[in-house]
Amino acid sequence: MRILSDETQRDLLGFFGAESRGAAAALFRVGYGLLATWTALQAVVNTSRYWGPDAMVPAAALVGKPWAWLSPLVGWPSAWLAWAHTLGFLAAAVALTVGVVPRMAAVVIYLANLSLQHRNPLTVNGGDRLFLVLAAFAVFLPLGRRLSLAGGGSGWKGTVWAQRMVQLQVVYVYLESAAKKLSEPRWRSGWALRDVLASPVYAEWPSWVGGPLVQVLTWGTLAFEVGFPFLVFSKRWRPWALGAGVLFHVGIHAVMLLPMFSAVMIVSYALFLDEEEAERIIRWLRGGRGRSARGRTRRRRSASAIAATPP
Amino acid sequence: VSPFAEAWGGLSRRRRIVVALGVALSVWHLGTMLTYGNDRSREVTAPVTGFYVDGLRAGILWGMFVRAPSHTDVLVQVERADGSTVDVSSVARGSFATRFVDARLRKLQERFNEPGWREWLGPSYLAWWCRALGGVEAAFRLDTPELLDDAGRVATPASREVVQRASCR
Repeated sequence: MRILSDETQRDLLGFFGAESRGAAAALFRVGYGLLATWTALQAVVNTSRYWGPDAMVPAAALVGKPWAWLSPLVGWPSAWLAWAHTLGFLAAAVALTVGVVPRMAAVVIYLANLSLQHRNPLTVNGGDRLFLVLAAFAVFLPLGRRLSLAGGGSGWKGTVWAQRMVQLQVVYVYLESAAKKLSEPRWRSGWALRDVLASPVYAEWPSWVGGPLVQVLTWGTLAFEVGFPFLVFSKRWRPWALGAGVLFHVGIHAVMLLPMFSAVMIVSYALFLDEEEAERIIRWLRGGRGRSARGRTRRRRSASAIAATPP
Repeated sequence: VSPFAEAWGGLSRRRRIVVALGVALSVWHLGTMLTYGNDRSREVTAPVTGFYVDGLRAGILWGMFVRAPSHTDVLVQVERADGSTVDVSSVARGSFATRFVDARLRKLQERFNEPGWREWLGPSYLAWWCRALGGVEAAFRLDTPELLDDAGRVATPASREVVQRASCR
């Protein structure tokens, strides 16, 4: 007896097993690398107060807590070890951005952040966890084939498997969030964002938004979170789903005080692009650079022509 | 021959190991992802999946703002020897540099809204701010603005409460 039909088997093989040329992975790498660099700089300036031996949360308070042993900073709190973590994170983030040993850089980013998060779990939010999961799956992506200073890791014969895993993780984030919200009467009635937008702890400009606007925003959030996971896998609807997602997260970032969350979601969108779409963006980026380089050459030529013209 | 068997047959031994590991990790990760989101299934599977989802932090819980968020800003109020006081808000507002450096302070300091957290880590946290700001006494202060109901009427008046004091000496 066959559990899966031939057609389903072919679909699964195509979904997870198609070959990757690395264009989407390269766009993701640059975006994630820039985000990691920004995050690492924030970590560097906070090294002593969050993770050092005299940090706000003493290492001794975490001894014996579940999984805290996974951070060397809990067992051996020292200034140099804390600096090694944050500076190592920064170096790996820069290497990832420019495409030098990118998969090794992803390993370092994962391990450094895992340790930092266990040393001070109190500063971490959901976006930081997704940041870590993306670093783990990035290790299996063809990160260095395109847009890389190291010149495109030759010989990659990999598949889109890790890309699909990230896609499934991101759509699950939206589905889980929507399912939980739909179970709450305040979300169903359209008033939930009134409480959120008035919170001085979370809102950039706390204010009691009333009337139809708050209902449009609340139901719009639900509609996006339910619709995105289905629309993003359709080639026809994908640009709309990703565009709506970018607007949604830029909106959250603008009105809410939530570090990391919006940026990490937007960065993950690069992995929803198929190779053709990603190639088009890379060509556009290169074309833009090419045009400006050609423009500079033309200007130089005209300048020398003018200089060579006798008065 | 099924499409799976055909694809499997075309692989070298090394590729078969890689594919088998990839399939196993996919099933494992997607399985833990689905069980982690629900309180009951998370509890049941924790002995098996705990290290992966919480130790390696591969599990993510989503549902922010499902319930109404806190409106209470937790401040650390530090008194200096000259009688002046400095308030450290949990919310990073102000200059670009302040926002950049203090972006994660809210998450940490907001937890001290709960008595259990204040009891556990409150003294060492207040002591840290005493050292940093050269204070003689530090305290947690909970500031809550006026809360309105859906009709725009005042449901709860604004409040300000000092909940824990610690001497810096």
